[in-house]
Amino acid sequence: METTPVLQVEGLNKAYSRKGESVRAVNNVGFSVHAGEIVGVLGPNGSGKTTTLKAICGLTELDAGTVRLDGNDIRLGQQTAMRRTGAVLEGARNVYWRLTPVENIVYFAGLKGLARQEARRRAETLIERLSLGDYRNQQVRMLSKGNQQKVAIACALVHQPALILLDEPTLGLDVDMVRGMKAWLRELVDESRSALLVTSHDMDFIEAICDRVIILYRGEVISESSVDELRRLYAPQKTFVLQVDGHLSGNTEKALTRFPWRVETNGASSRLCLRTGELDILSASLAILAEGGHTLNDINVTSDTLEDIFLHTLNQNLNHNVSQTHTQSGHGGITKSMDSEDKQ
Amino acid sequence: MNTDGLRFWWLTLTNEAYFALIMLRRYLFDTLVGLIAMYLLFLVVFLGLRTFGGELTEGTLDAVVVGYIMWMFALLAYTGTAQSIIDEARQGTLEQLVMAPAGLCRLLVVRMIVGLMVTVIFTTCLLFLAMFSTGRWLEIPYLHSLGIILLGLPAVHGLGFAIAGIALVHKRVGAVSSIMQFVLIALVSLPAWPLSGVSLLPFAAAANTVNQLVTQQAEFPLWWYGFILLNGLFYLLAGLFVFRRFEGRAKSLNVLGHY
Repeated sequence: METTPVLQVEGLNKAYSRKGESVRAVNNVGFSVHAGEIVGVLGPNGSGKTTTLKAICGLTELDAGTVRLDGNDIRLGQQTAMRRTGAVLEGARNVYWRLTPVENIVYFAGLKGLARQEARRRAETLIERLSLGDYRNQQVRMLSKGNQQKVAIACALVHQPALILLDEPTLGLDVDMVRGMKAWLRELVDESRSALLVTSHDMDFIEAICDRVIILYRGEVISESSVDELRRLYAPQKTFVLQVDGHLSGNTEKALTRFPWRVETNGASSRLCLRTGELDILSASLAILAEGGHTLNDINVTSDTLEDIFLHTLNQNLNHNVSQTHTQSGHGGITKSMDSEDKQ
Repeated sequence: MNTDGLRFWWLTLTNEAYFALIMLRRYLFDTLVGLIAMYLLFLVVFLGLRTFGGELTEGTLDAVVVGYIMWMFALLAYTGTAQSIIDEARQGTLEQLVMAPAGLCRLLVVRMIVGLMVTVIFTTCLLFLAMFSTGRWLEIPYLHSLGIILLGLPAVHGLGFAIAGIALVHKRVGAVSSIMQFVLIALVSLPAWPLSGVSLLPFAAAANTVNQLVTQQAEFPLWWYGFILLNGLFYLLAGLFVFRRFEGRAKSLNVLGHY
């Protein structure tokens, strides 16, 4: 039986007026996030990521579209919806820098309607969980960027929301901090069964923690699938690098011309590179090399990263748009898009 | 309102009181400087005016003290509302307040009540401390005057809400805040009793009533107190209405919290 998604976004539309011109930020955006699921939103600057998140938590008024939390339109029950939502949209700016982590968490818990005693108990649990114990009595402004970010996230989580929204949570964090965040966010969602919607430019981060990825481009969803599916759909490619002893014989080189190998000779060895999705090419090439009496020294296979896939998807869309623009330009039908951050 | 609703608002009120106390403690130096400055000003009014200001009648001195207290209440009410919202937007915490289940507007009203309680407590304590240390006890019905001030003061909060709302969209309203100090001086000095066009101005009726109560021991009909209450509520609601409109506009332009 299909369960109701925690978050359901349908037909989201938002345009701004700038200098008398209508500028579209998001256009007919729709998706859903289920309990225990982490969904990543990817997109270049100005693609509508932040506007989408802000619209979900009522910080931006929609021109059209519906946002449902547990099946209920949030506009009809804003108070209940906000009790069940936790968001960090401005990173560490979302907390009071003159307050300590505990004071911040207790205050924001109170805002969500938690009694003081319960708020304190949960604050202590989160402080321990996020390894902030040593800094519990320091003002947030004295903490590192990573720890400030942790405090902001703790404030958004203290009331155990059904929906968590994080905008660029890894911005400005070092590699260790990001690694730590990946681990505890995944753990937290698995335990609490909350739904997490996260935007980021950090492909490794998205790849590591997300169950599904939505790619936004010029305010539109151009792709929505699991990370594995994305790989399969857009880039079932691998790069092979073969290291062979000595120079390739004339016969071997001739036989290999059937395949688009790039051959480089370096001193006493040869290096063959090929990016392909067809594994048969590899086995056929290895057979040709063995026939020619060449010894294989090393073989290296790398799959495309999410970043490659993302760029590939964007390029594909850009090419599509360019051809559409050429078709439409005769009718003057070009749509401009931008995100709120560009507008400022 | 059901029990859950009452409990929620009680929790929100105590949460805001908790926040206000932490802020007072965190900015302890500023808090102490503010309190000492207020105390010294009371002393100046009590002793200084008598020494340097020539012959002052008891009534005039009382009027100066009350006028000063009213102006201070009005100024704290205005800055406490307008400036705190602008500060939240500048810090980046305003968006979190908008996402509070209580809603930004109602949350700010709760903050207003807490701020008012803090101001009343501090001002009353310092006033009595000043009277104790100078040995000069004012002949003013303090509780009566305080009651009238509290009836009319929401009007000034309303002005604060309106300016804060405008700031959400237009951002730079610093100049307006500077001018407001002088506007408030005018409002607490205008002759608003008996009923005239001036009485309709925000807080003017309350301020003038207290003034006449102290200087002339004037008596007022009951309906006049109702009028002061209505004046306060009208400007508060109007200010909240303006705030809501600009909050909506800021959301529509997606500039809420951008500073």
